[in-house]
Amino acid sequence: MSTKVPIVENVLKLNDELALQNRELFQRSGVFAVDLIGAPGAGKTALLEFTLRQLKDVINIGVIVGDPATSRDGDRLAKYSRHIVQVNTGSGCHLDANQVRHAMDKLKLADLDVLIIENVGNLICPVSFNLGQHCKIGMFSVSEGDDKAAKHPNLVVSADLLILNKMDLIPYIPFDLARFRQDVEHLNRAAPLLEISVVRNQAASWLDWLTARAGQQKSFRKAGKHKEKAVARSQR
Amino acid sequence: MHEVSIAESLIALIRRHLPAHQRLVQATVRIGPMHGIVPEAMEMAWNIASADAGWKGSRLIVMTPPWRLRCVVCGRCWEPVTVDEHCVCGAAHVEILGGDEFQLDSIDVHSAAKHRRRNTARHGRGRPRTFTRGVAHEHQSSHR
Ligand SMILES: Nc1nc2c(ncn2[C@@H]2O[C@H](COP(=O)(O)OP(=O)(O)OP(=O)(O)O)[C@@H](O)[C@H]2O)c(=O)[nH]1
Ligand SMILES: [Mg+2]
Ligand SMILES: [Zn+2]
Repeated sequence: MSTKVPIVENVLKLNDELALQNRELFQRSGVFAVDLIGAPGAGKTALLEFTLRQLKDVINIGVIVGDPATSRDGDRLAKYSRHIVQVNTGSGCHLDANQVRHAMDKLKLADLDVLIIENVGNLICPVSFNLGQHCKIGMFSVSEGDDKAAKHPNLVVSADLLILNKMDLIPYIPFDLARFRQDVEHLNRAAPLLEISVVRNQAASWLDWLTARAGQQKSFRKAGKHKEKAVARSQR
Repeated sequence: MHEVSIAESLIALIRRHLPAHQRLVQATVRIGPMHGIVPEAMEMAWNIASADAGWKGSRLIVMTPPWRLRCVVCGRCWEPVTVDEHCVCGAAHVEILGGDEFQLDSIDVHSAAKHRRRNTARHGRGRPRTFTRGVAHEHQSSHR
């Protein structure tokens, strides 16, 4: 006779625990951390190149970029920032909290306002693995087809922000934009949908979103510090 | 590849709960369609990963609960075939009530010591009994 032991815990609980530690480190350093998830070739690295270029004198951005192989994305980004860490996952199809933790050790978090984690190009697996990020971003692109939001509900539901890139291709590719928007709305009305074109440098909405959120994170931290000081004073 | 890393995560989690001197017989997980897990692939992954963990012969039961949606306009709850299904009222916004499950429900364990004794009695030597390898999946079909 065997005995049944009830458990009822998230399958990825161990990853979640590490993610929580990552989150605490982000909080402590006042870093706003995002997990950027999208299919291979959606334009994730292109968006980050653009972002690093545009915000060079505004905020300090670090990037952890995951790819199965090569340091090509890392090399592309290193032209714009010295806070870049390339992670190779081999046959792994996503980044997990532990890999991110190791990559974080190579960065000076205290020097950063924002940490962007470019996940391995994949619309499925990365979604299940919490990395400790504040926000999850789901990135699609026009050339992937208008059905991708509907086919990947997990990403759409769990995203805090959704991006549709390569809007410049709309005239050349059959893509039902109304349908795509409706699929997104069906599952997630809370997350803004930003329609951008990185090659045309049309992504102001994204820069606004990022700087606003980074600013909020900084002021939370300052408020936290003030509170700590006040507590310390009152305890004196 | 997804399933392999899920199986490895499961094994690490089960280790934490496995009582001392007990052998894992079976683990039951509940994974909704949200997570894109294919039960057959999960079976392959479990066979490999559990054998590596020293639990050869243990079974993984994958329960696959159906999608359950609630229309935010009329409040109707239903089980759609696919998650992009709109409500009959025409509204195009839903809340997900079910289908996003991703949990280890329970484990079935067996006293390792007792097992060895019984085997000895039956076979007259301490040869471990072989168990069926593999996975059973109980698809809870989404009847509408
Ligand atoms: N037409 C068009 N092409 C774009 C746009 N943004 C990026 N691309 C192109 O899309 C291709 C892939 O871009 P990447 O930035 O490497 O894509 P990625 O998402 O980082 O890809 P992986 O890291 O391999 O997952 C490149 O050839 C880019 O030049 C855009 O707005 N419009
Ligand atoms: Mg890239
Ligand atoms: Zn309705």
